[in-house]
Amino acid sequence: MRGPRLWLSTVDHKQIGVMYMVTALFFFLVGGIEAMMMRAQLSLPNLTVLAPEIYNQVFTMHGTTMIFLVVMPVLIGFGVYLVPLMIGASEMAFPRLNALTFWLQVCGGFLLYVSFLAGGAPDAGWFSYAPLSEKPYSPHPGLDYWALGLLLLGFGTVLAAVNFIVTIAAQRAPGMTIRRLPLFAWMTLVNSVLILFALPALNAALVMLLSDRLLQAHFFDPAHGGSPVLWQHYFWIFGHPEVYIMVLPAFGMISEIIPVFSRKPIFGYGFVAASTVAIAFLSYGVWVHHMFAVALGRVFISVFAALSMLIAVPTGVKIFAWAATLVGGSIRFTTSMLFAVAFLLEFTIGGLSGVAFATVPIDWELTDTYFVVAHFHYVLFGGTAFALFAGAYYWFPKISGRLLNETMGRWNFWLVVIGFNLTFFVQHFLGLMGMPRRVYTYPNLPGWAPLNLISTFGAVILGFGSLVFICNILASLAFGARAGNDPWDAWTLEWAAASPPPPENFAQVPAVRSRRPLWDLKHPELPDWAAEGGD
Amino acid sequence: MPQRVRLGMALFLLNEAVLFFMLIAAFVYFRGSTLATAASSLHLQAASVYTACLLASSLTMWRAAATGARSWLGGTLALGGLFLYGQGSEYVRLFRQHITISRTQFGTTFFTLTGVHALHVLIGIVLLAIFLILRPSHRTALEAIALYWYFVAAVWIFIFLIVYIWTFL
Amino acid sequence: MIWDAFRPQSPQVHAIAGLFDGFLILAAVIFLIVAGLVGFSLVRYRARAGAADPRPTFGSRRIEIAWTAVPLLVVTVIFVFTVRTMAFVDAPREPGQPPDLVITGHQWWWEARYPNGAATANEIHIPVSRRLLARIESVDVIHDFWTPQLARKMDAVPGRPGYIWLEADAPGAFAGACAEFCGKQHAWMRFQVVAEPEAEFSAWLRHQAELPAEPTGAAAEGTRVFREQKCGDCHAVSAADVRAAKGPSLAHIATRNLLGGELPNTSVNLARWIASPQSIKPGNLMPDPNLTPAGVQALTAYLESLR
Repeated sequence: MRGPRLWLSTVDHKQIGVMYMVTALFFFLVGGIEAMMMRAQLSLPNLTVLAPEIYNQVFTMHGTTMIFLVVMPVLIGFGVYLVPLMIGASEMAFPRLNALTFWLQVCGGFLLYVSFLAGGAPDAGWFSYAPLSEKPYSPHPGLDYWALGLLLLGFGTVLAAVNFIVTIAAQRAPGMTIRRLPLFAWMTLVNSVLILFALPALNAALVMLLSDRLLQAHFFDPAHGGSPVLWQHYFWIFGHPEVYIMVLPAFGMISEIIPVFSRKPIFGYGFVAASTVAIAFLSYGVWVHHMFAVALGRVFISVFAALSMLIAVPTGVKIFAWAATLVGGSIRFTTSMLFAVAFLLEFTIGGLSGVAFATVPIDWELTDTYFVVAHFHYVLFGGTAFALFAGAYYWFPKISGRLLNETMGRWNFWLVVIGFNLTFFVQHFLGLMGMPRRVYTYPNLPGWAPLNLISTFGAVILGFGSLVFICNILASLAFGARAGNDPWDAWTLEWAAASPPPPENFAQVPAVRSRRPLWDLKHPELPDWAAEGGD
Repeated sequence: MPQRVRLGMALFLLNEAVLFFMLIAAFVYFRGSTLATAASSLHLQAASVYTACLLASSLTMWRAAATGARSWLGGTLALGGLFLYGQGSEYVRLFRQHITISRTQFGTTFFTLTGVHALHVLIGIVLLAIFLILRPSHRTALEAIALYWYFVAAVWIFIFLIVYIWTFL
Repeated sequence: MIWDAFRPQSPQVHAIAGLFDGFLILAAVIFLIVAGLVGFSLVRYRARAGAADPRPTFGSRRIEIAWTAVPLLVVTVIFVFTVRTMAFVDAPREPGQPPDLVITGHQWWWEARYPNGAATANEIHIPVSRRLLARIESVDVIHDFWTPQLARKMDAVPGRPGYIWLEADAPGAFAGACAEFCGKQHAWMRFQVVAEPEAEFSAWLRHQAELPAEPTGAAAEGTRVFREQKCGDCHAVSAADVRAAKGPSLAHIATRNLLGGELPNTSVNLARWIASPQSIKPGNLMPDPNLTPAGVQALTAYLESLR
């Protein structure tokens, strides 16, 4: 299984998973450099590091890259690598489709970035509100590349979702009932259903936008009877489920990692799984909270406000379940666990500030300010990215056969935690002081300059923290300690395979009689399947 | 056909169904301002004829999937082609009335919706043609294409009801 | 007021700030509960050397139902306060009530028109302690009219006007900004709302609707440059002229506090702007005019005569 040709033509789920992760890491660097460019420009008022049109391209590409080329592919990558192993399968249901979805991802990313060479990158934000995204206001072809690239990425993501659902439906090992499914697989399953319903809404909107831009149709152009609000509805019908698409698999990772390092099963498996389904349903009824500042009817807005608040409840259930898993445990502070615990706290902040935006009058003050930027970075960085760091430290030994270095891990952790909070916590205050988002510069109003400088300073630390992570991967690949099959004394099936697993994954899949088949093997005196609530 | 292929295809078509739902919703969203143009420019009789072709092609597709006979496949291809021809002549008729995707709001919604559907029919025809030329004995593939074909015809029924029947009701 | 968020200067924003305070307390309590539970566990239940795994426990239906039900109750309370505050901030207007002023977003400036014909740009005057009904519109892309201390945000969506109440408790100049990304100069699409006592406001309003005085001396030379450069294609110089609205109205520009939404309105700044608008607000729709220094001076004198 070595050599570039074999990587290019592989249909092995583990190789494809690794390729997803490596491409995502590459784009994480690209998106990170874009973030640094923005923070440089914003470090002090009235700077001219970036011209306004360049700044607009950079923030558009930062958002689009981080969402479509980093978070989604890396989550799919972890899923593609882990789901078959976790359910005791030897492959995904459709291995060639799996390869196709990965290469569609690569092509989509290429299309997005080739726009820089074709007259300018897209510059209307990752949400591309019409009519700013229409030809008269954005005449260069950047947005066409954006729409075409996203169509490819969206199509690929849908195919990946199909593959996940069929894999989990049809490839489970004997005894792996749906109620014994590891929570990461559960959340990947729910996530795939979300993708199946959300991405086509984006694809429809993109087809309409491309009709407008390339064929002079008038879907979103008010001068000819089109409706800019229609774009907003379509985009957010996709866009809000998308937020959960980017966070559910991260929830799944946390639900695997916290129990193992607390040495206890998850507290309330049923509620954690069921609350995921509740989130998925509710996520289709909350999109209008992105549009509260539009003149829509008050009753209409109130309904969406209620649903948006309601979705906090199943999310809260998860946070409480993770916290309660710690209680009475025997907690091991590996780097992976540190990130998982930090996730709990950071994500709670992001979740709570999210409720502010469901509270309509607060949204009327705070939407489109830096408070929003702070909020969703607490969700997507403090939430998803922290979970991904935790997941990387947890599963790297399985993938590579070597442990990531724990000393570098501590540096990685503390730099990222300090840098992240410095960067984004102060942005809450900037929002409250009235600083709008998506501005390339700002007036020197009282307090704005020092807070922005702190934010930029934090971003530099965060950047160093991320570089330590990459160095740790490279160093550990070469010199890391051998991991063995089961370095964490864990309980799900992937730890029964060799590290790294051979092409067929398992010589023999262990018997599955509960949610923790390896616990049952190691503790025949106290198997889960004999315990009340263990199955 | 293996269960997992059927499930996979069904899930993929579910995604396509959402796509068409959104496009049809956009058509309906603008219906108030496009209805007059639609009523004065669409040709219900002609559309009924090529709609019948597409529906008939589902029947021949069903026979083709059941028997694997090249003649039924050829019939499906021909009927699908007739549908596209019928739709093409509808387009030409509209162009002669100066209704294009850019000139009227009706053109915007009508051509985008029916165009995306026609693209789906075309993909079906290409798949069938590839199948006819390359692997006439691969049953799973044929059944998967058949599922796709039924779906495309079913979507057209909704489009026909909303774009044509509802307009002339 | 536990913390002076938004520094409210109107009843509407006071109400929002009050709601935010309540929300903040609630959020802090919830965060402290979670952080306390996590912090306590990390200290109390850290692994001791050689300790065996604890005996597995799998959850408790009672606790799980409790931590579903209590948050449900909490969000219900938040929702009730949300609806009440919404009704206060967006108080209904009389049926058919005409707006007291129409505010229109342009790339990248704000136009305000009053029923008496007065028109101004980037500086909106209101009387103290009397709420005005403002209609928010846009002629190009989506903007958002936001004066953080005085009123909620309202998106300016082309073809879909929105209404807000604009009101201030005390006299003063309040900063405002476009809050919806609208292109290259979104950052400097800033403006000021000037609240003044009723008498001063009505005097201002009457004056803004008047025709400009006939220019003399250097200003008269400026009118020639103004014509030559076709400035009038985009800019009106009197409130009565409603045709030229591509650029901000220059009627009574000398009475305004700010230029381009941010610069203090001084002779030096005005001359800088006239000489090279692109170097002050790069990407804005006014091309650099290529004037001689004398031309700049004349034009500055003319605009300064528009009092």
